[in-house]
Amino acid sequence: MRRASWILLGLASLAMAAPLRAETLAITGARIHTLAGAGVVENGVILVEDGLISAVGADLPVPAEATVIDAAGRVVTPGLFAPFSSIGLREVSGVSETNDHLVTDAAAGAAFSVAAAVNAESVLFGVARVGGVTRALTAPAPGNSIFAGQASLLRLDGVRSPVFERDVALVAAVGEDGAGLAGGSRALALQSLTRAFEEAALYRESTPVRRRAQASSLDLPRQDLEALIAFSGSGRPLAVHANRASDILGAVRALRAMDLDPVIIGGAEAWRVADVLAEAGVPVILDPLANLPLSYDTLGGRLDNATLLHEAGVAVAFMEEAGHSVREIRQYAGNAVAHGLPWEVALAAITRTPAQIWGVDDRLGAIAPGMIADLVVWTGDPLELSTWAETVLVEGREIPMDSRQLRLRDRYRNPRALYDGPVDR
Amino acid sequence: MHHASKRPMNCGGAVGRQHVRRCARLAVTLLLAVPALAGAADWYVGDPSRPGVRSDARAPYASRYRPPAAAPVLIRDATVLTGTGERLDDADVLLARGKVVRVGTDLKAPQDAEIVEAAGRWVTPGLIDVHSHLGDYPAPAVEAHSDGNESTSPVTARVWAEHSVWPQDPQLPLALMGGVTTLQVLPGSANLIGGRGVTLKNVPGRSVMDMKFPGAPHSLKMACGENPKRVYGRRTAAPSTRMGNVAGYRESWIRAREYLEDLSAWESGEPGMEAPVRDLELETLAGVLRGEILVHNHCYRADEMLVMLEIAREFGYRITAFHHATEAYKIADVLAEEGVCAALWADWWGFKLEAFDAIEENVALVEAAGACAIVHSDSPRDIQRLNQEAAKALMAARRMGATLDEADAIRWLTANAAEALGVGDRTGRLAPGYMADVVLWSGNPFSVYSTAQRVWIDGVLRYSAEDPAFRPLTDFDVGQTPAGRGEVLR
Repeated sequence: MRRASWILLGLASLAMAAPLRAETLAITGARIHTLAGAGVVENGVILVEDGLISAVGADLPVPAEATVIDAAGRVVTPGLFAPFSSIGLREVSGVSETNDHLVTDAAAGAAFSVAAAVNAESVLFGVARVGGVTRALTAPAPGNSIFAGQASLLRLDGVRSPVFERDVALVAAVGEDGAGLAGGSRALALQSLTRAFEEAALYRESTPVRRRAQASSLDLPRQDLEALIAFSGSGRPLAVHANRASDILGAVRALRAMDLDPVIIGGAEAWRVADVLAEAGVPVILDPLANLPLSYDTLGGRLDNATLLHEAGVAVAFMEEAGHSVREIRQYAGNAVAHGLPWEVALAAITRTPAQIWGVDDRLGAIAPGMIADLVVWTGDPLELSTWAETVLVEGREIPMDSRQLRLRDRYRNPRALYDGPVDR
Repeated sequence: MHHASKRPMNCGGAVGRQHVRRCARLAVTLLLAVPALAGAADWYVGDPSRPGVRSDARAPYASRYRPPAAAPVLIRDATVLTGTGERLDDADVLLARGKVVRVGTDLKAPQDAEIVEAAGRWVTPGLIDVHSHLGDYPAPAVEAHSDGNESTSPVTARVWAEHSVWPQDPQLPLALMGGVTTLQVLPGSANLIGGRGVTLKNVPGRSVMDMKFPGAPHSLKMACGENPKRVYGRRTAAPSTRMGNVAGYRESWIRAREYLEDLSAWESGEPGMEAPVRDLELETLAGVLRGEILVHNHCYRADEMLVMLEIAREFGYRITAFHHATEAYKIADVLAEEGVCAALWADWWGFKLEAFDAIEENVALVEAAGACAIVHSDSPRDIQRLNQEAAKALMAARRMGATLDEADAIRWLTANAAEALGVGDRTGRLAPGYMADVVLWSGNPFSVYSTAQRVWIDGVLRYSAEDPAFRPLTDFDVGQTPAGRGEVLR
């Protein structure tokens, strides 16, 4: 026993050693897109201390003790932030045993939190961070209720506890998906949204004795009512899947009337109601490539959706929902630029805007003193397809450019030798 | 074909010589009654262009596509990727009478030619998607439109994907706006043998015949792995395992071999042999065994692709291309040796177990091994941006230190794809005599910011970003989608 505890203590101090040493890191020579007051800094320097950005500018002296990353001719941005995904909840989409993103066999909607299901060892994290994505929202999908549950924020650098902010948003669905869950009509889905919060309020105001009697007459299970009560007063956003313009309008009006803060997820036809969204201050997390009339809810899909929303004053962020391909959000941003969105707004849509939407922009999404040092050094324009991430920092630490995919690549550079010869495998 | 339904049931599943002889009398009667069917053997390919065989125009369901006349076009001072591995700067491309006339510098324009000043812009051959379901799985993706998988039996070689194609699929013009001039529409992958695929020109039409690529060979869609065994295994039907899959292919080829033997015996005038009773399934499979129908095989895993090659050896047919082939990089050397193409995504992965080992360098490693690499879409979304998919594959190649460039990468979408469809002598390259299937890009087509500006098919301008009159609309678009409601799209 004694020996074991000494070993544990030793390991603990070893693990502690790194953060205790005040390490200074400097990235030099890069074109820096700060997405903050400093704007774009040419040939700039970023200083990082203890995981935080301490300074950024053009003519900063680099401390002698600093570890220097020479990024001359390179471009530096904040780490990319995937604003809505199921990363860490679905390892292999087609293998249900590895799927924890939705509840189908229990009466849990609003109360379902995905936080405890996140797989810290997910192979998807390495693939994402090698692609420059350092943060993501991971969200439940609607299963049994128009309320899918609560989403959490993740860091993707492979730490034991990747959830850095849990239950930051409640996810719900209206429109075609919501209709199916509410009983057949999209009108009922919108009504259910309102009624759920009304029931929660009724339940909150009841005495414990009356609650028991009430529970049987209310639509929602007790745990969901309690989750909704906790959510109502929290100021956290409600992420609503909605694509058809009428459903977006309906959801925004219903939720604003209850003083809730909606975030539209999908929003294929959001451009049609851009003025309402702008006035209500409702952001849209969309897929800029969703121009196909794949369902009757998305007949109005178009590639300049983000452009029209931005011009009307709506904040936009770009999602790759499934999780395996969150690295593609920079391609999505590039396409939005090709269809009229200003470049800086497109970069913000995969960095600063997601941080703002989920309420962590005091720490993430921009390069400024005091911000967490999630940084990516790109070989060129980060929205361009010929560019790749060369160096990725999460909380000031350079992560190894390693993923299961890169290991498979290297293993098969010479497939014949791998199986025919006595080689190192 | 109309006589087939009158056939007595006991002759319905003609599978061998014995059987054929029993049914021979009936067949003779039918052949006499319908003299045109005397050359029924020619129907195996539908529209063969082989000399001495029924001409394309007389084959059933033949192409009715005839490009309208168009004035010559001279594209001047562009950066040209020829599809042959070459890049020409400040080059001209002359199109006339539906063909590429010349590619070079300072070309003279014919008097009636339209001149397109293209300094700073790029020109490539029209893009080709070898794996599409447009028309078969049109938008909106509702049950009423779900026509891509005849998943009622694991072997449906009898069905032809073209007979599900809805020419009013609003996804077709969107693919055109992405520079796609030719596409192969395949049956889905629910079945071991899904049926015949069809190669289309991306032109508007009132029927699929109006869109068919003249003289293109038919193809056969086969599928390995998870999909067939999942679809049928769930019904407690065969196949429910990968070994069940393999047994299913082999049993089909055994029947096809017997049918072909009967057919060949009859064709060579062997005494006593009559024409085998027509059988849609076996006609298709025999067409493969004769090398007239090209096999396009959906297959993800390396080990399964190697087994499929073994099946092809056992029964004497060729696999033209493995599709999806997320593990092609594990057997790139074998694919090169066997001369089998790999039609790939740039970076799709993880959506099912057999796609879990996909890597971004798959295309690059197949190319590096000297095999035929193709970038395909299998997606109404990505078919709009095949150039971007290739660009990502090119990025991964460069990241690992390969020295590939745009001139190499365009082949994944043009010449290599055309070869796999059996039309590599007609399209996929900007060379004299080739079909004038051409895209003018706003810039480097491998840049995320570039878009197709103009698209010509057989020398006819089919899309122009500068002129709304050249944004084709399907019936579905009219009054429903933004384009079909006259919205100005950026």
